Amino acid sequence: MKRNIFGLLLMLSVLFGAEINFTAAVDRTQVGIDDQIQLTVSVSGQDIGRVPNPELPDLTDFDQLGSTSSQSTSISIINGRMSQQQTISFIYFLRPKRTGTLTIGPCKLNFKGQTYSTEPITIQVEKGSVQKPPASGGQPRISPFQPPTQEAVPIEGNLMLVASPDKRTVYKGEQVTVDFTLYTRLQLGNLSLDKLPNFSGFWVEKIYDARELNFTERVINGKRYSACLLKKVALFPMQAGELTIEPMSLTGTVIRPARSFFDFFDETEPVKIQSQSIKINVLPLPETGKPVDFTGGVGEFNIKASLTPDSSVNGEPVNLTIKISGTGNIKLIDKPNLPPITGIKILDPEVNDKTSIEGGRISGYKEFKYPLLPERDGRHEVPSIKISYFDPKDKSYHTIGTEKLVFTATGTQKIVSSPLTETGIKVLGTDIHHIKPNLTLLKSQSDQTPLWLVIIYPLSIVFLLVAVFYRQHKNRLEKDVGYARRLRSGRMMKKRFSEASKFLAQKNEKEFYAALARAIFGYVGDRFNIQAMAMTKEELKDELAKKGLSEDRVSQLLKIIETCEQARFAKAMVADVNCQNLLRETKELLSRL
Amino acid sequence: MNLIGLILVVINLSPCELYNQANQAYEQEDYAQAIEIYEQVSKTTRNSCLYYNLGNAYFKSGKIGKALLNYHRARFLAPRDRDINANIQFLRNYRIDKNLTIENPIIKIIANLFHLISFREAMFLSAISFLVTIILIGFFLIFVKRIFLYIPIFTGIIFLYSFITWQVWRGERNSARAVIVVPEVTLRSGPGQDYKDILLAHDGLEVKIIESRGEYSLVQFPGGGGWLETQAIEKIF
Repeated sequence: MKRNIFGLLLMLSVLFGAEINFTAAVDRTQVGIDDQIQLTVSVSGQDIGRVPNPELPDLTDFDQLGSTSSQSTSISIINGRMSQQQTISFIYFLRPKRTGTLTIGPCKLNFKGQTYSTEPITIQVEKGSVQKPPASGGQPRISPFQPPTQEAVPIEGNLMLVASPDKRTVYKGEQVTVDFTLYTRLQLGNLSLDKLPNFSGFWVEKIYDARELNFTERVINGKRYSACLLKKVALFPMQAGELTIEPMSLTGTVIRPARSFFDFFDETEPVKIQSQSIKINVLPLPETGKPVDFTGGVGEFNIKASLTPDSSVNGEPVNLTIKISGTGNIKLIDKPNLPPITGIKILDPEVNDKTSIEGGRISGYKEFKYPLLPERDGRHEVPSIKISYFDPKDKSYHTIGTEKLVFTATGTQKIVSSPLTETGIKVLGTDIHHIKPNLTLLKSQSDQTPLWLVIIYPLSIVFLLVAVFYRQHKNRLEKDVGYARRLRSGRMMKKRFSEASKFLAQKNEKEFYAALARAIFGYVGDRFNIQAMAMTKEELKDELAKKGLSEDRVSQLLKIIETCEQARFAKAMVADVNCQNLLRETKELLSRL
Repeated sequence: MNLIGLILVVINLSPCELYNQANQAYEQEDYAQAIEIYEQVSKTTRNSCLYYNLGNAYFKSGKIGKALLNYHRARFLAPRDRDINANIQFLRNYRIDKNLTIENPIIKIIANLFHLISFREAMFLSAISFLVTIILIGFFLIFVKRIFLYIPIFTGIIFLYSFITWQVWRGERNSARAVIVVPEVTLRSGPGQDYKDILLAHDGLEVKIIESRGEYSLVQFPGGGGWLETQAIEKIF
């Protein structure tokens, strides 16, 4: 009813030829808290093409759900004069926040130096929802010039809201694009959103939302329609199975234009337009061949990794950025699995994503920024990081990987206490020491063992053995008299024999025999460490037998001694030849002892 | 310099002149040519400076394993050289595979003690100190003078030290130590491509060859081991 009053006001203003008409109206004054109110602020007049948006009053008691605007031009001839009337309507969708009596204050408009304002509107808000006003079927006609019965165009088949998905069978995570398009062959007014479609089970990415209605002509089944795309969404199913997209509904009025010139008022009829519900069959991702590093990506992706900065100084962290970009459910991709890297502590990543629409597909990137804390100096390698995604185009999994990255870290140990930083010297980096300078002679440093080095060892041992034997001999000489006499015996014997031969040469036979006997006694005494000189022949015989000398030798020895004694005391002349023989015989005998 | 030029140089110049020329190439950041000449000289001349500079040139061309290999060869000839030791330490930190085992400080001190003198020095010192010790002991036995007993105690300690050092170096030279010289190599559980992959080792890792069979070698290093293609490693000595 208000709408009609509003229409009346509009017409009146035209009739009175006012320069500008600025009004505000609501569709209902009695609403429930769950209901929506449509506030229409209209500006009409001549030449208002550049009218600014009206200033809304304080609407703290209301939620602003949205706004739209429409423009219409009418040409009227009154009293033979033609006037062009423009009407710009700003439509705001409001929802009350509380119950009780709420007031929408005056709206203001500054136009051509003049300020216009509307009357405040009071609204009764009740709990729950107030039934919408009944269809205006039985409403009394205001126009007295109502033409006779007129065949109304049926709503059925001429007005529809179509939800059309591009696919009905998709894999989990694959994009489904749904268009909500309004097709009409009727004139519509006061179109407002009644219910948004419900996309439970999907992750929703808005592609397009109509801010104003732009109709284009479209022919369906031979009928010409005005079509307007209201909403376009990209849906990514998050679970397998059959998912339902609940319908979207609009409310509005169908305006049946006045048929006669005198019928000033259009006929309106409220209407609710609803789209059909859609069933989407969501296939689970194939389990066979599912890689371990699958992180949930469905679509087509690239991976890139970078390090900033490319080296770590003083143990500061290096950021490893892994950027996954491409088309698909980019926001649903999980962070890639980073293998542990020895000597590096990997902290939790910072995640950034950005999506855009490219040819109706959702594309964009997701960035994982991992701070890497080097725990030791040197070169660190970040291995290839691999992720897998499912490509619904060829129904298979693909694995992509980053390139290996290398960075050097310095000063990791010096974070706690660095003598260098204490002196104010800053470590910028480390490198190998420089090469050795030029030389005038390049000596070949052989590690072959020379022969003399090898010989030194046995030679030294031989010398040591000699020394040891010498020491032993010395010690024995000092402690063992018998050993000393025995060692001396040969030398003494020679001395005595030479003495004897001297006497023989002098022909002093007596002395010769005495010397020979002395030599024998002396030698035997030395040899066996006995006091031979002081012994009788018998004693000597016994002693020598005791020392283990054979009887034969002993008797020979005794025989020589006897011969010597006989020759000395008997003074019998013994031939020179005998003397010589005796000497030789004695020598032989003694050397054999 | 092309190959013909290089050959001419090899024919005409002494090893020392070649070495200086390679240094010049190194200074001009022509590392590939520097390596070529150094390698040529190293075929005839063993010198710690040469090996050290060759290692530097390899490092500058990104070959960590080859560099470490030559530093080890240089260190064998000149163990007290600070540059060589610093660069070995630098490369051990620089390479990808780090030694995760923490060295026992006492063992480290002892190990350093027996690397103070080179193989050659140890060899000579050992022989001479042995000779002196033995002669003095012999003199003591012969002349029985106290002084001949006190000095060999001292020289004997020198002998023991240098002898052990000598044997340590010998052991190192004969223990088939090698360095991985390819960027990356997979260690497997057996000598062949079909065995299970165990570890992934990178350029510059020092390993010990335990066994060689066909084209594969079993290597061991602190923290693991496995079979790899023999061409992936190069023996230090």
